[in-house]
Amino acid sequence: MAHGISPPRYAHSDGYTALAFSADGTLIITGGSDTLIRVFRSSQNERDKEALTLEHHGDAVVAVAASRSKIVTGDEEGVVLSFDAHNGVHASGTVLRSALPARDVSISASERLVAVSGDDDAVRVVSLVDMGVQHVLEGHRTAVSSAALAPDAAFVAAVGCDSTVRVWDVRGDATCVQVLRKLAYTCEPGVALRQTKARWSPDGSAFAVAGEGHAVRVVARNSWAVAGELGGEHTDMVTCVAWSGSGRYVASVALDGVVAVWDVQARRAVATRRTGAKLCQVAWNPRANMLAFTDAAGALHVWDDPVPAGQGYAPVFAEAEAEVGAEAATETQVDAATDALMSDLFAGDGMPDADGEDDSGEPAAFDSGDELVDAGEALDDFVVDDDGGGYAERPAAPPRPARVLAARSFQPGATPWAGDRRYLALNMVGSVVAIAQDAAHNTVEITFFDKSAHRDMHFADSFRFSLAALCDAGCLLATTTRALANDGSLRGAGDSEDASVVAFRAFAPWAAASDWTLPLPANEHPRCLAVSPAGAAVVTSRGMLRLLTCGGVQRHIESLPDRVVTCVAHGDLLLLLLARGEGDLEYVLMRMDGSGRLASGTCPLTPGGTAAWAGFSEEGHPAVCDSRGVVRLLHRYWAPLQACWVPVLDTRGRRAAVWPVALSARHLLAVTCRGASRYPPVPTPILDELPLGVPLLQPDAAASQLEGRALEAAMFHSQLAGEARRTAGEYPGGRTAEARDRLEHDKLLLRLVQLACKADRPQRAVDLAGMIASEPSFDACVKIAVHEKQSQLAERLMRLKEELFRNHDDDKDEEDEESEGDQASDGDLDQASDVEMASDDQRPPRAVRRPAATYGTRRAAAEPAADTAAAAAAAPVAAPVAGSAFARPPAPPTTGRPFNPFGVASPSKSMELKRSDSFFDAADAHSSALSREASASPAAAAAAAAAGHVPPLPAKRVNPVAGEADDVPRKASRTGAAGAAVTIPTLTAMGVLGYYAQHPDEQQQQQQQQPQRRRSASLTDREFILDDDPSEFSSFSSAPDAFAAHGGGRRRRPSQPSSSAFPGPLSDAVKPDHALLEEPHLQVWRDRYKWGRQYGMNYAHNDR
Amino acid sequence: MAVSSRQKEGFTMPELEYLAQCETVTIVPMHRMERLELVRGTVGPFRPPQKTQVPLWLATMLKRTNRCRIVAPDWLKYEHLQKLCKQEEEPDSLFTKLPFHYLEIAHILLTVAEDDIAESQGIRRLLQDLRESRQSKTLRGMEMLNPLQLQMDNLSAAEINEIRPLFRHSFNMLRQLDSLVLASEKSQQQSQYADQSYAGLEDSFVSSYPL
Repeated sequence: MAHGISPPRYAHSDGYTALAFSADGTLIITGGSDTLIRVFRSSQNERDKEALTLEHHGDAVVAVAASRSKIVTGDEEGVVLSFDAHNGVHASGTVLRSALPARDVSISASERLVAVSGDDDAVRVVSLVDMGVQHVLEGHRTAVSSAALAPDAAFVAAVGCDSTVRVWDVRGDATCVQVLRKLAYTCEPGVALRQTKARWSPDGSAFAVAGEGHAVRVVARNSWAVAGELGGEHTDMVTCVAWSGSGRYVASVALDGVVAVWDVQARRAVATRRTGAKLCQVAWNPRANMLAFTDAAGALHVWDDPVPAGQGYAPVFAEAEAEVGAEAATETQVDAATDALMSDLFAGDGMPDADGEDDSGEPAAFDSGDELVDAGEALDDFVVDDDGGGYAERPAAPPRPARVLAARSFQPGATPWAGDRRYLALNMVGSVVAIAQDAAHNTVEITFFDKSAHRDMHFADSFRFSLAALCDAGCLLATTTRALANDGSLRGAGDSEDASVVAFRAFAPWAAASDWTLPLPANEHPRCLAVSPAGAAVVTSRGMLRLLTCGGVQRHIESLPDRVVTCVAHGDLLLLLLARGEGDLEYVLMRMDGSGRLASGTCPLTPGGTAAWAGFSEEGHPAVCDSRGVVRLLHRYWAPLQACWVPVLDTRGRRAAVWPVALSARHLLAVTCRGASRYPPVPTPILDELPLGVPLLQPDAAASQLEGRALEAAMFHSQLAGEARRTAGEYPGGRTAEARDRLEHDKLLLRLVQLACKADRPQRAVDLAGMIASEPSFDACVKIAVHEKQSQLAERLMRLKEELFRNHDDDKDEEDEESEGDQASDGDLDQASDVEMASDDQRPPRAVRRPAATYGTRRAAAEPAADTAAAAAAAPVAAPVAGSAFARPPAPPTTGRPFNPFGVASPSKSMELKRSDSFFDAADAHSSALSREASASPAAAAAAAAAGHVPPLPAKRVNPVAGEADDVPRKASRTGAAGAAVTIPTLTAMGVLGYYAQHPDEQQQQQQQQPQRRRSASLTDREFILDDDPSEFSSFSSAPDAFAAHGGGRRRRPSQPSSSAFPGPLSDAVKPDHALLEEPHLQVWRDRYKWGRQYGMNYAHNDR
Repeated sequence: MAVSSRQKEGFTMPELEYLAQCETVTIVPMHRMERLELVRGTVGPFRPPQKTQVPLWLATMLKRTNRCRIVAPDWLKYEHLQKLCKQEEEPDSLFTKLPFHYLEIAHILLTVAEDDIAESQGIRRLLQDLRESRQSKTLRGMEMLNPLQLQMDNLSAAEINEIRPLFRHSFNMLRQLDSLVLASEKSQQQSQYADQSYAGLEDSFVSSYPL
């Protein structure tokens, strides 16, 4: 490593040469009399490379300042330009044009403010955010040779050419806090070389300036007294000073060619070098023991290791910080550290903490990740105390825990000033733009996206409102203090002495006279506002939440912790976000009338992010977007204790910055910012629609995308339903819309089922099918399984369907068919002749109609059934009747064809009927319902959906059999269960088979007359197959597993694994049934009956 | 045929524009409206400031009554057209991909919604360039006309319309001549090489029309 000064590098032509280091120490920026700016790399191996040259100035560059990513330069023409140092250096705008030459520029660590001094007698403080002049510091009588802005942007130290140094507090209204006469040199106005510069220490605790006696004087902050003098090395005018990164050393250069390095604490020089040239400026690498200075010949010198090793130049700020520092340290840590530093610094100076950050806290568009630069964030480099000594005057208070920033509130959609315009609000309704006019007033312009709703309006605004919230009913406006305003560059805000004002501007034509204006108490200022047609909310600096009606009635006041970040309203809901210590947020969702809270808790943010936007979706989902570009919805807010934040959009991958405006169910409406700007331009451009996408795993897989869409559809559907329930209102669009939404969800699931079938993932298909909401959709699902030749899956799905929809049907049926169904069954019973009383008794109570509920209920139903049956007839006779204990009353006449699961599910080739016609009819009915739905006729779809819910009719299931025995099939089929009970014993299994085989016509007729009966029979047959030995089946079918699956279905129990191929041990609950079925011949009958019927029926079908 | 004799020779520009009006464009409605049930489908609902797709004729109608802003299609952006122009001007380049009715749509949009299209003057100029370079390319392509086929991909409606009269006549003429040539060759061959087979005919066919 080279120790000592490198050979001069001639960067510019002869003349005054300015110099600065970037905050990360990698770049050296010089500006010279040849109007050029050159950017060198500071590291030793890259130092000799070609410098980047910028030719933006028209005159000699005499001032250069740099921070982390900004470079500000000033020239003798009076033009101050700024550059962005991201991926190369690009011009980013003109900061200021003044009539007289600039002499010194200085930038705050947060890169928001620039102080410019020049040959006129005023110092200007300019906001880099909007390039607006924020303060003009007038007080000097002569040209100002130097203006140094403290790193935290709180103070400006300005050196007049008359040797006076003035210190200004620029946090609120600029005030001169100290005038130090005869501190600096008396300089020659207009001659750059014969002037001196003041510089702040990196921690902002002191500044240094050279003065008479060629001594560097260090002035401590707050006391503004000269704390030390460093002299004795220079023999000519000291032109510039520089602080080391740790704040322990100061370097000075002079016209005599001497460069000296001073230990501030020890107040002595630790190293000096003599060069032959007149030295102009000096800068210290903030992260290394490296000094750079320029001379009047346009040369750049770099001095590596100016502080000798023996002097204990602690490398804390160099290697340690450079390695882990900016990159690895998360921004939350930085925030906390900065806070600690600030409270440390300001302890005891009597300043309210909240005022410590002047230029912080505006909402930031999110893009690259370096947004929301907190005041003094760049100070993180200096947090580590290198030598434990720091500066003598530094207050020795122990660091306090990170305090919560109070002044970080923002208004969603508000931007800082850009030119003379600024958005006060921008949302789904429209925009509120403030236009600066003159010192006395602004103009407020309200434009609506929907021109038919309201007429655009604009009015003169003598209050100079700085907060606004917009809704359909009106616009709420408020003034506030500068300290509480969205950003430090706020212009035209009322002074802190003035009382703040809240005003409401109503839009409804008849309510034109209902505008109101309310002044707030003198010491209470609005922090943020929210308004909806249900009322207005004002959060104030005294921790008050004031809720008013749109007419101006004050209806609720509540005390809140004074750390509200933002609030937003929609309908009758108000969402409040409150800051918490660890950089995350708390949320409170309450009613707009203050009558209660729906939900509250932690609002998650992406690590390192802050809240950038809050709002509600069009449908009313509360949403928060953080500065990292992740949008989250507060889901299930309507249900107590169930609210959760669901991430629905991640814009981190996008190239351009995105400024969220509003959220609809499917899109985030946002302005994509062009170029370097992070804020939307005025007038509002066409909003981009960014489709929402829940961040699922495997986002590129087709199935995942569908899953995501299904998830979103389910979420928005449930939100609409939940909101309707919460407000006791109707689903938006009525029941047809609800059915349509549900069907849409089902369609997505069906497509997923198909993908799962194709991929041969049956469990996945079953899981998906379990989410299907309507029965016809489920039928279509089975159809898909059959189509994909997944017969086992189809079988399983059928069982699942039983579980899912029997309950469902019952619920529905009870509502719709209470009277109807009962009447129908009564009618049937009237026709029955003698024994039907048993059956009548056994008509199940309501509870029994919920077979899937518990085994307990079933047992309760089964026992009396068995008893009464036994009393009524011989035991074998009673068996099928006992089954009717599970019966439900007949369904009302339906249009749909019966749905026979066995025809679908049987894998046996002897059945030849994998694809039962009846099944496909049902499925077709559904698919036609789907297509009808597609042609915007949701009512038809809903009707079809209702039609699909055909409850089984077990009470009549034996009718075909009875009919055969009595040879009066049609009559018997009408007479119902009682008749069947009498005749069944005379049958044999073969007889049943024979019947169907020999009488297809009759069978067909019956099928036409009683479409549901066969279906009900096949369903309830399963009720009989309780716990049979599976070997029994083998003689009847080549597919025992299909049977066994039925057995499993009968004994459904949540804990039991449904995949077991054969029935397990008999459960107590079903024993009564079983006891009735113990009769050997009855068992044979049962099985043959079922399969005979099955076979016969299908036979008939085929025949046709 | 229902096409009049005049239309066999091509459509007029207004006619083409009429046909182009069924293409869809994106608009940002400025008035809230429910769905519109149109003969060719449903459009809407219109919820400012959310975009919707509507037929061009509806968009122009709404635009004329100041009820919407038309979002310029992606191909009608200055940068995109610039890129296309460059591609088009490259030697031996094919026709660039543009909507079938691009000229008509651009004309309608630039007439009706000039305020919604950024850099409309530049776009006009670029469209003119594009059209001219494509026109010259089309004419060059016409030189290669043969009696079998003429392939020019990505030709737009208006451009096809331009070459239609010329192409139609010359193509018919060529085909007639071709059949005469074929017939004469066939008879010659049959007389000269009576014993030769069909293969010789194939050869002569191929050699006379290298494809």
